[in-house]
Amino acid sequence: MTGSALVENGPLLEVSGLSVGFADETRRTVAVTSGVSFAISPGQTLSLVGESGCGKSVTAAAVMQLLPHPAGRILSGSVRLGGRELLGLPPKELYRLRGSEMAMIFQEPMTSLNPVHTALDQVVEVLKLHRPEIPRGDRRAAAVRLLEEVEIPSAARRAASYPFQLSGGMRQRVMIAMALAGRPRLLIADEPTTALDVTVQAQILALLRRVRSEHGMGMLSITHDMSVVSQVADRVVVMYAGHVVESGTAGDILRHPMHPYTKGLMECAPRLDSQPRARLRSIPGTVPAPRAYPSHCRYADRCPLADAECRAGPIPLLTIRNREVRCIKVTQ
Amino acid sequence: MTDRVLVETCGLSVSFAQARFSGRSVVHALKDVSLTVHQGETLGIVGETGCGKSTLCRCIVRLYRPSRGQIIFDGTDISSLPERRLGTLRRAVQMIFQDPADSLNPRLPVGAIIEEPLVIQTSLSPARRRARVDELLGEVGLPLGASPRYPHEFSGGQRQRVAIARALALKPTLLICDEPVSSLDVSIQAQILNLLLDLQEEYGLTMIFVSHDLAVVRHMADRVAVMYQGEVVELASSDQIYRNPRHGYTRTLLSSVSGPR
Repeated sequence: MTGSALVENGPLLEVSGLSVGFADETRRTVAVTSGVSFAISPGQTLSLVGESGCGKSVTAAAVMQLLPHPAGRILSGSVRLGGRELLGLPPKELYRLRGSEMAMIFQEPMTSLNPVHTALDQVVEVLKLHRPEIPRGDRRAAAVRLLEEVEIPSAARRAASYPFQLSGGMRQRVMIAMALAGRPRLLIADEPTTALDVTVQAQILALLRRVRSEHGMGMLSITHDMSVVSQVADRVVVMYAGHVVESGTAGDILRHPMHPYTKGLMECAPRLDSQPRARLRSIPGTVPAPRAYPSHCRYADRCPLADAECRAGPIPLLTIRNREVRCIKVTQ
Repeated sequence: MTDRVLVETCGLSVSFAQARFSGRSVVHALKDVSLTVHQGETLGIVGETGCGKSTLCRCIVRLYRPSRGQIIFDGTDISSLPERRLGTLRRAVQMIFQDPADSLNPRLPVGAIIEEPLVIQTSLSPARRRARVDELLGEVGLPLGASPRYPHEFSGGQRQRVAIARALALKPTLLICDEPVSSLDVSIQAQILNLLLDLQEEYGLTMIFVSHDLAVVRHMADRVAVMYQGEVVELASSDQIYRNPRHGYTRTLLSSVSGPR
């Protein structure tokens, strides 16, 4: 640990009332997400789920404060890591925190790795920046150990490879080694397996589960794939059109989804035991653009249950047993 | 499905020469692939990246010329036909690709994209072509006003609908779908899969459906070919493959899919 004074009890990451806005062509700010709240404890994985354009990645980028500048900005809310408010920290301090306290891995490792440096050099660079206690002469050995930890076979030899010489799965392992190099307490994984084959996907998810528990990290996983959720998540937050629409434990939500959107997401993927060639349940239409978010229930236009009541005004996030649901139809 | 064989490949092999610092090496992308596709059926092809799925598709549409073996389409060996004699094949076989953003010309309006095969392959008058484009837009669930708009104005799912409309313009007998829903959100995947099933019935299409997603392939296909390192390692009815996988690799694939799928 780099010796920052962080509160040890309580949640690791606490996001509350987070709203992010983006400037449109006319430089007016449009709220893309509003009032997003969730918490992650050490050693726990929370999955943010939803279609493209629901605000999952924007929320993750806001936590890391990597929103595109100057178009995107945080409108309100708070992001606390280990009890410490991150919003408003000076850029220099954020620069230090990113990589050492929180790290992120992305969907396509080919675009996030530097193509002109070897895998080893890229891990060494993180060690140089975030692990000053490792003497210069020991960095290469430490980097090879990290590559071994992420199960790269004959790591010492493969370390000299450039990204284009590695398969997609191996590249993602290098990304994970880089993320682990700074010993972060929070790992954000933005669709880490979407670009990978199913067999490789299962290996990478197993690796993430292992390093998470060995390092006691909290993990924020972003995905649109419910089968990924079932393999990694302890808690699930479902987002739709910039709102949290349902949150609860992974077991509860996967067994018994309450919000019609969560149900829709789970039903539309074909299953290995479903009737072949039967028409799939699909969610009609698409996610509205942020500018066109209605003031009433944002899902109403695609929802099979929607009626006049749903279109009467904003729908609050209701607490039902251990769950939060933004739908007035589920209680009836 | 009928007993009539529409496509047959016999001992199909494709190799590519690869330039390396250490000299040239040869990659065997397809090794001795023999399979048949019956009229009206859907043949699913699964396997991981680099197993030869796309190479096989591209051979069948003769974008690649095989190094060895035969491809018999509707009774004719097309494996070594010269380009100028491929006209019939080009009309009868159409393909849709994984990423509609890459397979649609960004500088052409959607109407012109769908019309292009009609311009090249038919002698229809401009008015008749435009009528056919409107009919196709309706069939794939796009608004009639879509014609003058450009691909970037559409979402991923809508662009895939444009690609489907273009593929159907010539009323093909065989439609090859190479990972048609892999780049789409699950909710949109379902819409596109349903559309393909509807259109298959309407047009009486034979389909080759490629995906790395087992659940999607099982849903769409009558029979499934499992490919591994350029070879077909198992070929059986969808039910058999999923209930009673015989090859070790098929079992590995099936066990990687867990959870609510």
